Amino acid sequence: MSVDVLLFWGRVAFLVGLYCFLAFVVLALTRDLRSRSASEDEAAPGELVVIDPAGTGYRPNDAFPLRGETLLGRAPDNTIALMDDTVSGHHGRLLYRRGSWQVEDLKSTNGITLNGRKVERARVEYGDIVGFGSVTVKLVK
Amino acid sequence: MNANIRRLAIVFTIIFGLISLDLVYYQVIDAGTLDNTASAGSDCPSSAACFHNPRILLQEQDVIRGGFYDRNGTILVGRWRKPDGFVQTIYKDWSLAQTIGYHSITYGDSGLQASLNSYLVGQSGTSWSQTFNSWLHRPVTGDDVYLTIDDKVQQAAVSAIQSSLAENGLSPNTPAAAVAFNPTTGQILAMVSKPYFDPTCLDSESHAAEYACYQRIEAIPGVPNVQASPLVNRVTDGLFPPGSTFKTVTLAGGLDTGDVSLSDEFSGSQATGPYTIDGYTLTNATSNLPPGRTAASLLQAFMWSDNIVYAQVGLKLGWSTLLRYANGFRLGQPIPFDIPVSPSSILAPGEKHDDITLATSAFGQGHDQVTPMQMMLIAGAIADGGKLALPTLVKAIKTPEGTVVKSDSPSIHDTSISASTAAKVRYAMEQVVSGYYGSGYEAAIPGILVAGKTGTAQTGNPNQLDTWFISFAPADHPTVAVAVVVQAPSYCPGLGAAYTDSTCEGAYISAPIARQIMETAIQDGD
Amino acid sequence: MGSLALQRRATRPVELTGLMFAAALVILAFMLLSGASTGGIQSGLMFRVGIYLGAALVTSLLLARLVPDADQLIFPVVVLLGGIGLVEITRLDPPYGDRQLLWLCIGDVVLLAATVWPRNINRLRLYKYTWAVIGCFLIALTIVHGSDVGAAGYPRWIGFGPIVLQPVEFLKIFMVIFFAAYLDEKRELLSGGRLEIAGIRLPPIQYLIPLLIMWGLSLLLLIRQDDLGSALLFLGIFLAMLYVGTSRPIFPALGGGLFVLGTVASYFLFSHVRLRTDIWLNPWNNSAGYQLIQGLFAFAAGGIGGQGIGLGHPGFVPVADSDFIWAALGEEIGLAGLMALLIAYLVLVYRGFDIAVTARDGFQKLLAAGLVSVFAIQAIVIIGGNTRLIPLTGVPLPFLSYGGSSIVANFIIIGLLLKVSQTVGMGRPS
Repeated sequence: MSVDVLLFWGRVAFLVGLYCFLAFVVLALTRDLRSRSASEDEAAPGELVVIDPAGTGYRPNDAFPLRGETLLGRAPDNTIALMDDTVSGHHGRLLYRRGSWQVEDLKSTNGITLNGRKVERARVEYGDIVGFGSVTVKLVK
Repeated sequence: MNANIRRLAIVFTIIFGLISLDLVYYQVIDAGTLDNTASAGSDCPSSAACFHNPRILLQEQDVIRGGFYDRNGTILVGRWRKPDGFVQTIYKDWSLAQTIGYHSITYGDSGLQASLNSYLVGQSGTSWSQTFNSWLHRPVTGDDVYLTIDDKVQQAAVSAIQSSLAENGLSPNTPAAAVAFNPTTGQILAMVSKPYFDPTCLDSESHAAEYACYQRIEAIPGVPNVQASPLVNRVTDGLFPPGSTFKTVTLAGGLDTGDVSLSDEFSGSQATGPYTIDGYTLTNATSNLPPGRTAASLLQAFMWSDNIVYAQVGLKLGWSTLLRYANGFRLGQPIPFDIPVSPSSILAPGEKHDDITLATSAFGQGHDQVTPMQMMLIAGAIADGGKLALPTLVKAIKTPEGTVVKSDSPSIHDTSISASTAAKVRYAMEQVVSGYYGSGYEAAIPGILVAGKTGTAQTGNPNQLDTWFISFAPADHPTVAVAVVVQAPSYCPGLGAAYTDSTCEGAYISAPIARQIMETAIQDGD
Repeated sequence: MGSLALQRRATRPVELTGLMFAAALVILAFMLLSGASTGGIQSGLMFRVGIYLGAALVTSLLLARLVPDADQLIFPVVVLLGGIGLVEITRLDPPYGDRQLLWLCIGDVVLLAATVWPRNINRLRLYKYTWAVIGCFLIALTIVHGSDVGAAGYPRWIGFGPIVLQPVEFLKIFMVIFFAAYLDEKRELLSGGRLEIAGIRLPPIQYLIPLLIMWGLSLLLLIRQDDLGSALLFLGIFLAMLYVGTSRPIFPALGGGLFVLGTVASYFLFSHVRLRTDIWLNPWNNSAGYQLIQGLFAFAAGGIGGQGIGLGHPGFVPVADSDFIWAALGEEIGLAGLMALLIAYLVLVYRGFDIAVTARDGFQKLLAAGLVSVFAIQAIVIIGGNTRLIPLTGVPLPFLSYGGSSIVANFIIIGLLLKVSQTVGMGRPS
């Protein structure tokens, strides 16, 4: 094959390759997107059951359904509002990612406890007890 | 905030979309125009500071331009690659110089080289292999053009003009034009515009060489008192007064309306002159009657070319009728053709429709200005029973592999004269050639019926006459129609004592040329 | 039970795969260039490719240590863009190609540096006024002592010994940091505002005043310097960040009005704005339209498939290596290639905004959104200028154009984005 024919097919390969690369990237993007949105908006398996309501006004055994991303805190724009003085405005959040639950501390004043131990970010299993300030809840199925 | 971020992302995406549309515009939609923006005057939108696409020049050097062939495959213009890589165009036949045109980087393209350029450089009508070659950046070979021209007929025209000029004692540089076609198909068989030149040196490797060539071409000697640039295509762009050949139109109009008939008699001063219209007098000299005759029928007046009679016919028809019939022959209208044709006219725009002009126009003077092409079409229309075939030069365009990408298709139009009128005019034209004292006797071909009309037009320059002959043959089933005009001086020194005077006339100069052309065309018979 | 923070992974497999892909394409591009110019494989060219890709690989491995959880798709796209830019610049002018290679390698180092310092990205906000002032100071210095090394028409560069920089590229980043910090702090104040005059609720513009001062100062400096392309860019960034940072539509509306006013006023005030606009509207009638028209010829010559790398004639376009690199690429890789590059830019923009959306901290959100806007608006402005969508300005095309400061600044942007993404943990696989 002469040089100019090689160059021609090389050019074709280059353009085709560019689009293959982009396809790969876009595919990875959409995969990521899908897993995230699934976890953010849809209903997720689990409920929070109140153990110690402290000053929130709830009663023990009150249950809250959970979403893929659930914000907890004193401010009214949280998914679950906990109106207790020991709870910060945006205290923390519960995330459901790829089959497991995680809790994250959103720089709260009094911190989050998992089964009594202070954590900043941790995986939560069903049956674990999570504390937001003085309020404690339990993750159940 | 998230919602706003998402919206902002959408805004940017839309803007990117607009950008891609803009790209599509310049890279696909408008690309053809931009690719060909060679110089001011071509596709450039403004003339002021027009920019060249320097790629065009580079492409030029890579393309092996297509060649030209006659209808039988005889090469007319070829090209060969010189040792230094430069592809030189060579013109075998200089007599087609203006028609085929030159190709020059300094002076651009003319004639068919210009109008068919995209085929010649392999941009239009391409085969797969040409396209693939351009993708691979290999030199592209353009398509070849096969003309309707018959080289034998063309050469006959050239030598006929040469010998007629020599016999009549005229300078060999006398400007002349001859064009012949097949009146049923419209295919042009021969086309000569003298003086011509060798366009080969206009396609040189440097601007300097091309410039020097151009100077040489412009210096080609003409004749005194006559505008004779060799670059002008006299067949399509030369405008001349038609002289008596225009009587064909006047006669056709008169017969078709029924205002006159061939047997109408004219006598006395109505035939011999002098004849006065609105204070303008036509003298006896313009009656052209044979010695001893004082009367003529309309037919005879046509044969002998009597201006007095035809002035009256014109007056009888009136302007609107005359114009209508002229228009029917496409006089005054643009003629679509492979190279530009100047429109002919019998009246300039805005001119008054007065009787003097009407009368003089009727016999081909007045303000009449026609191209030889136009007159050939008129002859062809009479030949084809009142149907006018539009002329065509290109028989076929083929790729280097031989695939035909474009071929000729005849285009026939109605002239508004009936077939029986055409038959009568044809009869009159036959009598011009073979009848008693017919002015076209020099065009007679033994064994073949020839129809024609002479014309000797005054040009306003007292030292110059335009000598015409239009004809077609064989008259009963015509295969060729011709128009010839020579810009002769008024005095023909070659004419001997046998002639009444030494005035150059269409009968002596142009008719023989037409005869030789017709003979060769019929012999070669396509 | 529970557990500690997720394990730090030492590998970024998606990024490595992407890099392999991008590397293959860049190598192929250089091979095409080599074949087109000499008919064979030039070892000199392949050596340079090796350096570039080697640096990229090392950077990726180091990123795995420094920001293992950061986004993995951005860097491969950047490597691809940088590589294609490098091929074209080398094709146009090999010495500039070498310099671009040097800057790209420095860019890799800067990228890594941006991911480690500052340790906590939020520390940037503490020095917001400092950044803004340094930026303006550098511009002022350039006005007084600058030189026009790259023939931009005005002094855009300033030299510190052997190093020549374009401060405006860095000013963009400083300003974004400043805007992000400021808008984040004043967010509640700006969202509120119950000031009423004659029954119309007015936005609390008074809180924006320090912002407007800093922004106005930089704008004036740019105008004084005749760098109207960057002034345009700043207007755009300001508008974008204002829109993101405030929940009141009045702010972007006001910003938009300011934008329109500014452009119209500049048309009447500055002769070179008029010149640029005339060239944009009718380049054929103007002798100064030569560059733009040659650019259009280049696009047309490229058609859909392009002439091929090294096989076109992009050299006919003046300043093809920076202002008109898009046209040069357009001629050689055609519409198909350019669309791919546009998609690549969109991927970066999208990913950047994605990082902004998932960031949890207001400052980080604004920072990410602002940095992406810088990037996107730059691309839009110069590509739009090349294709006659808007008048031409001297803004460099990120990663494709020749220009050391531009490369370094854009790598800083990428580095900061990766850093934010690390905090969010976006790149974490399942």
